Amino acid sequence: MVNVEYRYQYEYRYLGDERFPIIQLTITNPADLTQSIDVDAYIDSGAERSIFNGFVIPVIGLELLNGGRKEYSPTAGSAITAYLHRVRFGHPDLGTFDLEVGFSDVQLRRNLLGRDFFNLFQIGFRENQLLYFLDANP
Amino acid sequence: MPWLQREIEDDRKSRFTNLLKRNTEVGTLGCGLTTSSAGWVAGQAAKAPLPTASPLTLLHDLNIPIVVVGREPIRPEGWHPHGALFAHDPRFFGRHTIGSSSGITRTERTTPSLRRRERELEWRRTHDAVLRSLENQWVVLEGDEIIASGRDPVQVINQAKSSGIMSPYIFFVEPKNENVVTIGL
Repeated sequence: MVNVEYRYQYEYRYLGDERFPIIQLTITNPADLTQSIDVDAYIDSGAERSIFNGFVIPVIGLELLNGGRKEYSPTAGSAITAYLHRVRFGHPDLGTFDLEVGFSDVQLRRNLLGRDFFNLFQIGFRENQLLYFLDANP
Repeated sequence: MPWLQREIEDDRKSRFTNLLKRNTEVGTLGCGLTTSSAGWVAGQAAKAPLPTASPLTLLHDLNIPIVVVGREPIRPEGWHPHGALFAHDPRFFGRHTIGSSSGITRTERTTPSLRRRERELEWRRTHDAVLRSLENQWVVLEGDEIIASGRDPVQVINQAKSSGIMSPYIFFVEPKNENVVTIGL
């Protein structure tokens, strides 16, 4: 039997009638901590790498096209072009952490936290109970 | 600068001193004027004209610094709505300045705090009908109030920031369709 300990437990968030594993994060410009916004991000174990809406970058004072270009390929459909930027994420329980993620050049309905985020934290899901768990120890 | 934030909060919690109440401790000259034994500058008070302009204009003309927090200016203690201006509260003048122009001292928090957004999430859970009217739009929500909404997220965010929101919480209202399952993007 494998035992895993998590420090934090969160309920899936309501969106309409449905509930999803969504976390609210503050995204900050690491070079200018006064520039930030708060967004929803879906925790998606199927995503190799996190991707966020490109509009985040200019509103925190950065240039989208200055980032390294990366193609994000969904399981079906056309690839999405994104630009990699290292930004500072913040959460009241997880604290702050810097992560280089892709910011899309098209509008996305959802921001996705992928396995690069999973690499920093220990994450568990209990879908039947609509709960997810986090621990800062990866 | 947590000390600055504490000062701002302390200032916000302070109440106007009732001039008549304070006048019971010192000699009253009538018309809201007092002598200076409680630390008031009687000469300044005597010279101050009755406020026909806004309080801020009057303070500016007297070259008295004003602390502005967010959008609301904080009036100094001792301001009497019907009489002259009384200033010289050392607590008031002991503010730390980040920037100033034209006699107005501005103080502000420099970094956003990390927030849980519990109020916003609860509002989203309980206001589905309102959200349905905003399908396919971006919304900035602060507490229980929609600050801005629209199809251009940058515009919506800028609108929120110009309203004084340091770190706007923005989300997209996805259309509801029971026949559609969304995977990933």
